[in-house]
Amino acid sequence: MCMEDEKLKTSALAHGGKRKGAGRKSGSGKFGEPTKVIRVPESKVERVKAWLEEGGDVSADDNVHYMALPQFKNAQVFRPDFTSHYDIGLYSHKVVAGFPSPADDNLEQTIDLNTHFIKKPNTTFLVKVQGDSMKQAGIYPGDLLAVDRSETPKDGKIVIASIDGELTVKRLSIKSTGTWLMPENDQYDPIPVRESSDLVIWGVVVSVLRSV
Amino acid sequence: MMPVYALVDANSFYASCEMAFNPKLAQRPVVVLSNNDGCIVAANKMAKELAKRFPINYGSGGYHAAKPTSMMFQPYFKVEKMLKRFNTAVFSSNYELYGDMSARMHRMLGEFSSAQEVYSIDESFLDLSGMSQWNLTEYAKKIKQTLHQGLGLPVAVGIGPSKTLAKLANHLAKKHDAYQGVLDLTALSEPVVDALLRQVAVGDVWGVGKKRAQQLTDMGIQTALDLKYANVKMLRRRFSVVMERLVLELNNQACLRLEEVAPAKQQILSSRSFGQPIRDFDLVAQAVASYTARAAQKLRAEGSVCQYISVFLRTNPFKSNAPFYQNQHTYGLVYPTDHTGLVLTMAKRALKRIWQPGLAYHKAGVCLSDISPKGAMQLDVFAPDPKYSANPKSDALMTVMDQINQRMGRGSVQLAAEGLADKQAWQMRRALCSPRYTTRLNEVLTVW
Repeated sequence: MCMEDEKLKTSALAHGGKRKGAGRKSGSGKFGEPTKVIRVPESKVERVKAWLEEGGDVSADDNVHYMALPQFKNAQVFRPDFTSHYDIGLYSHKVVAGFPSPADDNLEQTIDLNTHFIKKPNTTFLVKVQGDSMKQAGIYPGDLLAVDRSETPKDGKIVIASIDGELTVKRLSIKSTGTWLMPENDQYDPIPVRESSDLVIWGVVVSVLRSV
Repeated sequence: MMPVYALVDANSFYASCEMAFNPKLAQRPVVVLSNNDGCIVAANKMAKELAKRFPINYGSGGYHAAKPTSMMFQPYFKVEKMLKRFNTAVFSSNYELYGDMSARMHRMLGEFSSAQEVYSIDESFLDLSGMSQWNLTEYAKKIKQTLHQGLGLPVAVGIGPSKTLAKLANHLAKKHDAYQGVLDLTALSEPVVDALLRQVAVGDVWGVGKKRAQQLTDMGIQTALDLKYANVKMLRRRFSVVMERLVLELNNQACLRLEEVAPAKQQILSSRSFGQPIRDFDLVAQAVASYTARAAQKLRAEGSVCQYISVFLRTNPFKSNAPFYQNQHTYGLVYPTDHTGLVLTMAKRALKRIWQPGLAYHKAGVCLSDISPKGAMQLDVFAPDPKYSANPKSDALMTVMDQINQRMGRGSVQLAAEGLADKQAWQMRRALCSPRYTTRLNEVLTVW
């Protein structure tokens, strides 16, 4: 602090050197704000200049703030990648062979299988089916089911139920006569839900995923 | 407009994640162990109550956070017998599962508020300012219900006019069963809030550490209420502005804002205990190489470079029949780097310096520090053609390596120095790991 004052004094008294308040004012240039000197690759100089001339606006995309995910020691986070889009073009015309395709002009929308089969990625879990108790409902051993835990279980829905701690896939039947877990295979008996049984609906099946 | 914050956290997060995929566990005590199945890091309510009913004097040891009266953070072997007797389910830490469940939970919480700070793996602050025309207790109950149904995770919600009070409300919401995990301090009158603050020990206030708690208690400040009405000026002089802010926050003045973007890390640490004691230099060098590669990858993921590389090494401090040795060495770089090859060269050099033959080593680690954002680097006239730093070719190599590992799974491409996966004798013990239900297709839940 002391040194600074001294300098200021001497410079004010001495001849020559920088005069206070001289020169162009900061921010009075064509950009209307203070500027900074930077290094730019030679090949890019023209592009940067042109961009600045246009107003130098940052596009909206650059301003998006992404939520920071938690960081923690010794952990690696794997997430099902719901951002992927396997787009399959949906055309409104048939493409005629041997003729220049007009389809490109008619590309109307695309299909994303992820969003089609999994509406709520946060609360949807995949489970694997063992056994054939639901085969008449089109659910076979080895099938993957997308199960949404946030969905409200209702009469007629196929659910994953925990009955006395065992997880099972069955159709939920809530009737005035009682609640049942119904298999869809004649070889199996319906499971009655009694007062004493410990039933928790774990989630509601929303999709069956199977490769053929 | 008065700010209103909520703190939402999951109860016994790791144990709750295990229970979410295994309904049978609802009727059993559940505990989760730390790396190498060492200490207890999570316990469900039933296990905690058991521990209370059959108190053990744990003495010293365990994690830094361990108290001699609680089983949390205690070495597992001290509690094992008692837990086994009551058919406790014991798990190794399943970080993949907890990480995925955490991400889902934070994404869901984000939908309840305009601003969110992800504070830890299982805690988020939400900004509820300007929502006071609604019944915030009802809103908090809805948050709780939505997470419980959607993920099977029990959470507690605390609401207050500052982050410190929100945290305190959360603490109280969990402590008293009558609140059912939800407490809104902004809905209560000042005398009622004060009566609640009297029940909270000063050491349980957010930001008051073990040492500060002792100092405050010695000054006669024993509860959160005492701290609220303490002399601010005197506390500021005695401690710091941080303590002053804390007192203001307890007096309904929000001083701390939400940090929506996590600040870049000051240092990156990658360390682990070995699965078994190791005497062989080559094996320890493999472990160090592996930790280094991991740390350098984290550095690049952040878009940063580091200037200092430290390596530390130690034997088991709990083995009384063997000599205890620990040491560390740091190398600085002229130019900061994010290149695994260079960082590894320095780490190995550091390891050689501190290596003492004949000892059974227990833990090693690598720490990268003086971290700054990777920008255009000023080139040096004396080093016109750098091998690692700001060299586009080496940058491209690292990028490709990271991309392959991200797409094909961790460790698909690794440095030879890390050793082959099946020979990694130093890898941590995780004998009791549950399936990675949400991140591996061949480990998903099976239903009948």
